[in-house]
Amino acid sequence: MTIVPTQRQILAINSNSSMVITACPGSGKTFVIVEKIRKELQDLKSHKGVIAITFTVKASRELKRKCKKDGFDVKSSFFGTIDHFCLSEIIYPFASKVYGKITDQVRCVLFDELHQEIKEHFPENSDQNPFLETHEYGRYHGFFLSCYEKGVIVLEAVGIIANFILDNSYACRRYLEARYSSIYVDEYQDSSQPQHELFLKIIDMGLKGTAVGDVQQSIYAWRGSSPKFINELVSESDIFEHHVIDTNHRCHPSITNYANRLFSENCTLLNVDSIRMYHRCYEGTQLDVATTLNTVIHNAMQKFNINLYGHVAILVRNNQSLAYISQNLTIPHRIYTDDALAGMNTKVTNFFSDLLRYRFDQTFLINDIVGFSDLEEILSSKKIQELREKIREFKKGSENSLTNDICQLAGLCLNESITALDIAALAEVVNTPDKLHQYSPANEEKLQVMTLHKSKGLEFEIVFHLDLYDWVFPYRVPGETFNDKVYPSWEQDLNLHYVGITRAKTACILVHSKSRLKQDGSVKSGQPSDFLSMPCLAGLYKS
Amino acid sequence: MIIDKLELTNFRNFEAADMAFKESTLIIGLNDVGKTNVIYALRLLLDKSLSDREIEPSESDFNIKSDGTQADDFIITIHFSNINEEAVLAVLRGHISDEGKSILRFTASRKNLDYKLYVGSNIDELEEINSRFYLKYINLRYVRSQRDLQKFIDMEKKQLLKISQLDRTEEDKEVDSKQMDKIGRGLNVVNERVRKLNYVKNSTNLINEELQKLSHTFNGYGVHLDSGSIKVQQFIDNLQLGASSSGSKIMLGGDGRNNQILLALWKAKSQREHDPAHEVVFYCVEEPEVHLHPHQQRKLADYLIRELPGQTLITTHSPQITERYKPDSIVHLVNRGSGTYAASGGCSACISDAWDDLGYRMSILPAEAFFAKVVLLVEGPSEKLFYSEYAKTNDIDLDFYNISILCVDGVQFEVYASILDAMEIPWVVRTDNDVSNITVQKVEMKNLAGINRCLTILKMKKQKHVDITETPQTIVASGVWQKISEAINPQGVYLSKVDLEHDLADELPKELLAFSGKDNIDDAVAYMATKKAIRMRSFLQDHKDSLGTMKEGELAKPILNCLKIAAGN
Repeated sequence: MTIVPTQRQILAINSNSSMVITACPGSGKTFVIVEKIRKELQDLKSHKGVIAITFTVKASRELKRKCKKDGFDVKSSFFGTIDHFCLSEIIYPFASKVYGKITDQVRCVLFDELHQEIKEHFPENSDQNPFLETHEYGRYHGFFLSCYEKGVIVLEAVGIIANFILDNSYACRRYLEARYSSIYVDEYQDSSQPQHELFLKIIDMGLKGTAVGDVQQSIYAWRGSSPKFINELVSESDIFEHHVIDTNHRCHPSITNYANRLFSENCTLLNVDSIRMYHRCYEGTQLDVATTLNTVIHNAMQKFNINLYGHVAILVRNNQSLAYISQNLTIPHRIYTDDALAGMNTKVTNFFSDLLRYRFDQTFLINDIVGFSDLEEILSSKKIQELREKIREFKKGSENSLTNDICQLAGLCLNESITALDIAALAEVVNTPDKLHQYSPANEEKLQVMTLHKSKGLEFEIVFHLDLYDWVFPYRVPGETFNDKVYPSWEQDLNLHYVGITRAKTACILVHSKSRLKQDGSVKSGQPSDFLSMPCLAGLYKS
Repeated sequence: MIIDKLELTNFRNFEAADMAFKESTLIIGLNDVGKTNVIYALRLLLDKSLSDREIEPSESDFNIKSDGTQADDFIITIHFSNINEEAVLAVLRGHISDEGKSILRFTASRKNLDYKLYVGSNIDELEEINSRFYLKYINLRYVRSQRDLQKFIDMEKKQLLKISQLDRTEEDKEVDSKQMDKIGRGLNVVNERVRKLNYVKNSTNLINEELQKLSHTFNGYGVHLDSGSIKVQQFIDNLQLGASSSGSKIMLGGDGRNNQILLALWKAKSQREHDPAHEVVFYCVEEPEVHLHPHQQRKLADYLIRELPGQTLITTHSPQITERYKPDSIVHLVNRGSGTYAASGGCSACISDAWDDLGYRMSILPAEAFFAKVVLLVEGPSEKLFYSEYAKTNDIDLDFYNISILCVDGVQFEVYASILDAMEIPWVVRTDNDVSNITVQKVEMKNLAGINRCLTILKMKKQKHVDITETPQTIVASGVWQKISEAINPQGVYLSKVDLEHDLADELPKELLAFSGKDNIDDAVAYMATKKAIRMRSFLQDHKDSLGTMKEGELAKPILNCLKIAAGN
């Protein structure tokens, strides 16, 4: 399919100013980013590049692939997550300029994994909220310094440490200025405060900035991010041009209408030829819903002329619901969960994950392995060749020695020590067929099952959005009286709901059931979610 | 970005040597003192035309001490400063200090003939690296002394054409493309006509007849001599670099002219290939003066200093090139028995800012002094004439011993002595015993100018002013001259009793009277002093044989001291 860019997309692509782009789902924002980056790179010398920050490793891989399409030279650009950027471009090369030289190799670990003797340096009376902000740095400086002296950077503090180093190392600022002409940040609505600060500082240094996001898709507030930062950029109109790209090319107009009304009850509606939004209430509990879906999905696919299970998704609120589905769903399906490796998200575990991908996915190449292309900068071509050879051998090796082989390769490629925790996480994945299976390429023949959070950035022909129960989604806590409705995270939940709906291209079915299983196993009557009864939605769905 | 300093440990003939460099630096020294080794040390780390295999050390790279033991390791360390080029900042990442400095190091071990590379923002932060990854943006262009223009042109011609092709405007391209068509058609005609030449056509008849006899399968098969497919591109690739003078074509000149063309070509190429704002190129040229006459050498030196866009390091034997450099931009390599090193650490700040303002360049000293083993500094041309003639008569071959006699044209010995000290070239001074009037607190006195000049050169305490009645003669008579001489002579400084003419009258009174035709010695001295250099020349011509009798006298002492220093080395 050739994309014909809209006028607004063209404006955003062609402007050379710093900008913030607010983009609705399906509006082709990735296309805009890719085109902007490719346009900018054309005029850069080979030692220069752009910084492209994405929310996930997968998204950065995808963005890099799109930018490199047709043999395009991305020069000295950086593609990766914000943590990856902070570590590889700021902390690892420049920490010694600020903290002093140490003999050990520095590595990054989760706070929980720190040795007890290091943890003892943690300032007393400080709450252990891991989402630190830059102004809090001073209180923890001593702690970070003693960690660093033992060769450790705390993963949760990467953002504020990077800010501190950038502030205090002239060499670091000179390096970033010399190496990069621009910084792009995708999913800016999920920026944390340290990331936002870093972005502003880098722009202050003279780099051009492009922030892309959608306030309504902010769903990671629980991880320390906030949509207020993108709004702040929008308000700084003397620095950032504000571009709005709001034509949803993905969803059927009736789905777009429904989704838009969630946020503005009077918004103008698009003309529709039919209604493709459905509210469904099935008999029984979540377990029965899973059974019912076996037939319902077939009917829906027939009705909308969809032939592949892979184009249909079941989206749920949490991991518990994934368990219900897997019990009773008989249609071939694949459940996406975060495994132990993804949970740790360190350089070592990410490398493990990518080796598994390389092992089981033919489309995943050696150069896609995170950090491997960095090695090419520092190793001689002879050593690189040897490593390639070893990795290729590993692909042909026995599945029985996966854990061993992977640890060995990581030892050869990474300058980091591999801990018992890393190995345990790897073993858990390797020894659980379901989890290992997730490293095989996505199969078009299998129904996609995942949480709403995981669906971010993806699209499907038909979406079954489950768990629309009162108390569950939006999350509700008891108020003073029974009828007193208290929703601690209404906005974030509504955003999440919005994300789920707007994944659907052809049809979206919002599902609840007459009974509801609670976590403790008891059964309650299943009341519909308040999201289903918002008055402005009337007439926009079929029951 | 410039190379600030080079440190060599146990590399070839350098046991331990540090040398500082300036923006444009001249490396001088006698033959075999190791100029090329200095350049080679830099090339190991910075020249991308040396492959990874070529930079592997060999046995002969490890220093052999005077006692015959050979070092097990050698270390080359290059200090850089002033790093502002974008590409360098980008490629060296964390290895640049806040002050814009960085260090590269090469170490080699004789045991396994293996080497290691390091980079760091200071000497404590050196980290091992696996390759010279920085060479894409930092590198050194080297032109060796035995250059070959033809070879260079063959190598670089295509590249020059290609770059020039890319630089064309759209308009030029169109014109060129039409022109190419025309040339193509023209060449077809030429090919056709060559084929029609009878002796070309018939040259293969004999072969073809024989072929027919061998086998009938060769029926209808024949071989031809042909100009082949000379296509336009081949034609252009074979372009020869010719020179033209006043519009008429001439053959390329002698080696000297070729040298200049080479350097011009080289500069043209490096300017098109490199962007000095982003990347760094260091230029190393060995003995650029080869085959050029002195005037051209001076021009060449100016060209190299001014025109090349980066730091230039040049080795030379040429006084003409040397004199274009300031003394603080010169690395003088010396070998003083204990091993080779750079005098005063190279590029020493031996000239104070005040002198610098006066525009002193190396030409303050006839630059040949830099290639001398010892320099005799005298006040004026008369002294120079005298000592040159003295040496000749007494069989002291100044060129053989590398002794330079230099006239200071005045009394600024201190400047000369500082520069020579910085270059670690020994010197000997001879100066007049001047006294001058001076008024101190309204009392007229005499300043012992000559004595104080000597003491200042040696950084010794000056003498107080003396009574107005003192003269050079009274200073000698009172024994002060003797006392001073005893103190300063061992350090190579000699004080006249009065001046050259008086001293000569002391030692050769008969000859002087005869030459001047005067009847008393005072008149004879006065006669000599009126047209100093001219009369000294004729005197020496007439009486050179007498100079042989002066060996034990005061006048001979400075030159004999020079001889002792030169021969002692």
